[in-house]
Amino acid sequence: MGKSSKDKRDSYYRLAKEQGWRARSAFKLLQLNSQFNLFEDATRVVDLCAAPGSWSQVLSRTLPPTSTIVSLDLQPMTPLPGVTTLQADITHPSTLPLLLQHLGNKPADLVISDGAPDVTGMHDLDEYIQSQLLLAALNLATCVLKPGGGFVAKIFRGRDVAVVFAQLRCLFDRVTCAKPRSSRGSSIEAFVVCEGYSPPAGFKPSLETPLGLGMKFPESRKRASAGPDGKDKEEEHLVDGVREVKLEEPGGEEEDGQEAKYIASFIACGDLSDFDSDATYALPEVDEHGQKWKSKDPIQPPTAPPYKTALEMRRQLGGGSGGNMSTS
Amino acid sequence: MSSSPFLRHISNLSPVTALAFQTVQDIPDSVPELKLLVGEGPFIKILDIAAPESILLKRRVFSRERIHGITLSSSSRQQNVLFWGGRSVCITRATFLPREECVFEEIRVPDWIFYAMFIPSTSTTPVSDEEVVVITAHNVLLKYDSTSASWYELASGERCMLYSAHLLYLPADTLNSQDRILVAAGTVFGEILLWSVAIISSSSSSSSSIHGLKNPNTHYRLLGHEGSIFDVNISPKYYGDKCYLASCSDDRTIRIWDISQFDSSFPVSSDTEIKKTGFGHELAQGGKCISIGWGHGARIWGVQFLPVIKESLVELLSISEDLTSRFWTFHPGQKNTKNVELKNIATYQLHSGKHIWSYALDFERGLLATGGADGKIGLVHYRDDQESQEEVWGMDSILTQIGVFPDEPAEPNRKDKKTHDTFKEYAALDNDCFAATTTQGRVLTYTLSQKRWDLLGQWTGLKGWSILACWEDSGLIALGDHNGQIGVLDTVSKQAWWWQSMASENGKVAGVFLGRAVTGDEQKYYILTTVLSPTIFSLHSFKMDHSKSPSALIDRETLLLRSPVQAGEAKFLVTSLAINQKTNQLFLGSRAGGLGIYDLSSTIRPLWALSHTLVHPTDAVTAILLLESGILTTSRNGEYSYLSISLSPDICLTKTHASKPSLVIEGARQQDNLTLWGFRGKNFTIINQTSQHEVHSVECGGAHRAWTHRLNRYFVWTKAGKAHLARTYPHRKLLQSGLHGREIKSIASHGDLIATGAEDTLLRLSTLSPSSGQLCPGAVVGTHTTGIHALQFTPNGEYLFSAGGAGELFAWRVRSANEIVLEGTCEGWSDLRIEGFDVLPIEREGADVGSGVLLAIGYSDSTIRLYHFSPSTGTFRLEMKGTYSRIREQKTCCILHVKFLPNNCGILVAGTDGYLSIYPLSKTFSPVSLAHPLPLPPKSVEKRVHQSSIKALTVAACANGVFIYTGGDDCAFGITHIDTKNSVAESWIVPRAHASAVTAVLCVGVRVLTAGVDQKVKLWEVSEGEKGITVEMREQRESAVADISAAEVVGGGKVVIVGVGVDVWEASDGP
Repeated sequence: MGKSSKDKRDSYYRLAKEQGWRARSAFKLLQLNSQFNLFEDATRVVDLCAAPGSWSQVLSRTLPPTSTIVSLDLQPMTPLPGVTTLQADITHPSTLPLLLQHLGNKPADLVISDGAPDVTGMHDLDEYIQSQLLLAALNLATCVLKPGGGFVAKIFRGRDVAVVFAQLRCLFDRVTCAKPRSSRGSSIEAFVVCEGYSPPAGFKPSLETPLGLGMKFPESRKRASAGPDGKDKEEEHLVDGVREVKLEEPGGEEEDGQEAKYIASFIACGDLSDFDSDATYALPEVDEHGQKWKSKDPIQPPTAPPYKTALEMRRQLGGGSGGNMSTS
Repeated sequence: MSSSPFLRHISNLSPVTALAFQTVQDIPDSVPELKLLVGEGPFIKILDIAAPESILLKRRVFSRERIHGITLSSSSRQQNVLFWGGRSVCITRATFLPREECVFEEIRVPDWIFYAMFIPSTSTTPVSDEEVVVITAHNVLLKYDSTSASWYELASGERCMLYSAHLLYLPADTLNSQDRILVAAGTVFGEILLWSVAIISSSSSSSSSIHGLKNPNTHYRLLGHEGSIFDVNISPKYYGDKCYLASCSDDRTIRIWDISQFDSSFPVSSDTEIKKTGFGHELAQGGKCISIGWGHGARIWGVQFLPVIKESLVELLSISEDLTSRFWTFHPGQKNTKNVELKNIATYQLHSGKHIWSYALDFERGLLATGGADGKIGLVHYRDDQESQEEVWGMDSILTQIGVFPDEPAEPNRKDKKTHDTFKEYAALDNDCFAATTTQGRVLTYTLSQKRWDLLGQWTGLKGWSILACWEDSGLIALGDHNGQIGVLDTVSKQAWWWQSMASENGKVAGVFLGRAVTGDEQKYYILTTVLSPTIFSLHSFKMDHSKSPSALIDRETLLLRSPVQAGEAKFLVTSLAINQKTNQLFLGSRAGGLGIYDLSSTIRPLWALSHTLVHPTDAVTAILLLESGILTTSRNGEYSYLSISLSPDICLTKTHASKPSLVIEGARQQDNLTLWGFRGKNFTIINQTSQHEVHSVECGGAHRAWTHRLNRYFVWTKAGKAHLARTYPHRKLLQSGLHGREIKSIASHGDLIATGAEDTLLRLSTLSPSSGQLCPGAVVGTHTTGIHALQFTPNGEYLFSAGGAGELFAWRVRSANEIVLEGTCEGWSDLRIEGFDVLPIEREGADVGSGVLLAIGYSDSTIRLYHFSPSTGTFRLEMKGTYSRIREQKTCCILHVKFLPNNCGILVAGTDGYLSIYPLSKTFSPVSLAHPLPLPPKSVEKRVHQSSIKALTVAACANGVFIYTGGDDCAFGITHIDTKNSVAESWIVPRAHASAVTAVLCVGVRVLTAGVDQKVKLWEVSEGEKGITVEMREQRESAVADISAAEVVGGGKVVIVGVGVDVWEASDGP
């Protein structure tokens, strides 16, 4: 399929190339920010699982030049102005002093993470691995966040998402599940936006004894005010002109009483007049310079897939195009 | 709430994620029976190996976790079974399994586990003689203490995130005084860690948590893989104390590591110092990769060593995302262990879609079972299959064997070439014998059981040109020569009868096609011969008189047939023949894909064809099979079709089913299952089309060669001047037929008939058994090129429409679950997707004109098109066209749902913007005689209900309009009442109705059912009161289906939920 076909089917892919973003995911952070004002008063921000660096790019372009931006990833990342890029494992104990050093030993205002594993197709495993990645990011975040700070991370809205919401709820004043319009509706991904970091008294974060592994999650203070079905009395994000139905006591069986669950309120962010990531659009006739529109090349080629050598082997053997080589 | 549930789970179809063979000996000294334990979602099933599709038992083991593994113990006292997956395990006695009263106690584990096994009990007061040890995703070894019902940590390896692990129990020996557990751990970053820990017997369970802990020894850190490690396996100790580790990865390789010296290796440094993590930063620490196996076309999910060394080879098995399971071998103990070849010796493909997730091996019987994402379970007799070797002959060795010695080459080159003999044609006589002709005019037979070639004779007329065919199992072959002679040869008595195929025709016999008719004890043999420029064919018939010895050929007759083509048409080159003796019909298939039918009882001479129909445009009809009703034809264009034949008033062929598996079809057999054979790439391949799996595949070089084939026995072919024979015994079968191999995206139903469309691009029909609630698979069609996202039946069930990616929309005529034919293709746009459309039948009094189906289609670029489909012509005509946009903003979105409202009052449209809109259709809208399509009328209703995508929608008529129930990506359940007369809409929302997107909404009796990606199924009671709408959740249940995409009420009271698999629920009206 031609390049411009992808431009038609994915407006954010096209826009990312035209606006110089390393990946279309930049728009997800921009839309999250327009909803939650994440960058307001944020001067020290940490970007975890940052490569190829589109979220760091957003930080670099949006935050004032005096800000401290530190980006971490396992993979090397092309440098960005105003951003300190570190190659490090977020779960490793040595990463914390390294990170704090680059933050000038001051707590961070905001920690963000767009990390996700390569999905296998085994849904429960993929959700589990993603939740572990999120918890690892959270664990590092708790070590560097100032009280009242924010945490934004990618989440898979699958079977056990309510357990993850409940865990986050223990440490933050407000947990919202947000889906930017630039994130495909057909994708299981969304973002948790955690505002107002407020760990309970006596909570000592550490990378040695991570949350959920070495350390149990603290008891949520919010649970008392939560409704019988695990919801709290938060305001719902309803569209204009619809009425909320107040549920009576829900029936049905409570199947797994051991694990706390919480359904975070949902918000679709980004303006409805923004592009729809699921829709197909006609391509513009002229570009921003008034020239005839042409499909642009991506800013950064995608990182080499782990099966690159396998592809080369197959090519040498004269096999077909390797139709099965796709990962998802 | 104590009342009985409204929803009763009755069946499911899920990816098969765990398999284990179990040998059961109910009665002492009886022959042990082999059972297969199957993990599908949270359920286990027991299957009988001897009887496919027979489920001996099905039970739920876990409340919601998926079973990822089944481990059987080898304890002498009693056999225990361990089910494990996610964060749960369950231990039970094997003998309890089949009992109804067997209770499965789910034991929760603190973390996700990647492997679980039994070890001999270390407790002094054992509850059982075995205990359970698991390894978690964070490289922690846990042991379950059944007395305190808790887990305690045996040891913790280097902290990292794993994708796979394997455990091996090492009993104490002369070198090590303590029992140990050897751990192989594969990390997400491509490392493999091999570590071990000693197990200290605990005096009591209370203190065990302290005394059981011991520092683990890390023996090796194995680096080299370029992606996450998806499986690791430690081999048993082979000859010479050799021990290996096998690993497989995201990088599509299998790697073999020599770990024989792990016990004497220096411990690997711990990870306290700062190191860079990720791929390929460090050198491997100990252990070396001795071999790399390439071959899988996608990610490899599993690898396992086989316990015995076969012919001094180490053998292993792998399973992959690429749908194949492969056997590999390598030579151990080579001196140069740097470049050991890991050879792929056998490949099996029994699954479709994507992923083999699970397997089980029975080494005693040489059996492999594989389980796929498609819900299929394949069974391979791998040992038998790999034992049958190919046989190859050069002509010289055959001639030597039959006692013909080539003349001494007096003059080399020219003369040599003339007398040199080569293989010409083959014909499979029976299970044990095939015939061959040679360019020197020899006719040979080969007897498989005796491995012997025989010469039947040599005829000058067959020199340089011969056509060979045979009547299977008759011992008779038919020959055509270059002088226009045809011969019948009795391979037993070696008698031959020759005659001129056609008077005044001395040219080559171009084709010989055989038929047979049985009347009482008598067989009548038919030979149709053609010449090179055929306008007339000759049909010879004869009988064999077996009362004489030797038998005699009697009653020979010849009938002339006129070619079915009319003047000016292309030639009718016969490629296949069938004779129906009941109806006296002769069928001829042609190279151009035509089918001619003759009435043999007619007295007209030469005989005229009753009809000539193009059944397979573009390529040859390769086989014609007579069936109970009608015929089956196959074609080299890859298609096969079922045709019904009606005789009066005129002969009429109706295609009732057609499909195009990716195969150049050369032949078929229809019994309970449809088996097809032909060529695919360089292979001769036999497929079971009914159960959609490969029966056999032989690499022969491709289609352009002489060959013959006897189903389930052998395949013979010429390659590079030599004759080859491969056995094709049925060593592969399906124990369970499954459904789609990728996510199901759409479902439609009519009565008990279900159509499903999936990301595997297949459209499948099935029926829901009213008794068992099981899905019984029917026809499969693969016409779509991308995922199928929407399906609709017409109300009478005659037509089915399917749509999806690449703007494809097809019309199908459906007669039963096994009969589906493509009737029309709508114009499409490759950039666009269709997520939603609806159908409305249009009845016109009297003539066919105007009758048909009106379709309203929504596209991903916001266009809405109305087409009129005419069943008589199979054409779509555009009637109306417009672009969806919100009234004030003029903004568009991707359309997800289009519905005709009851009473023809308009079209309801919903999309990714969360709005419901209605476009009124005027009562006089008449989809005929329009030169240009009408524009879409202005909206009468626009109402925003959800924040973003409306993922699911259902419409229910009510007194003054409609209720529209919606499921949103925003986790909400919406209820909208629309007064269609006054165009007034009112909406209510249940926020956080699900923890994630609500992707299915259905009216079930008086209630509304919702289901979502959170795998919850909820039943709501919606009532209209004075204060407006009240909603009550009446029930919520867990579904085993991940990524739920749709639901449908089937056959009255059953709810079928689809996604990654299928869930069937029975809905009662309840109290």
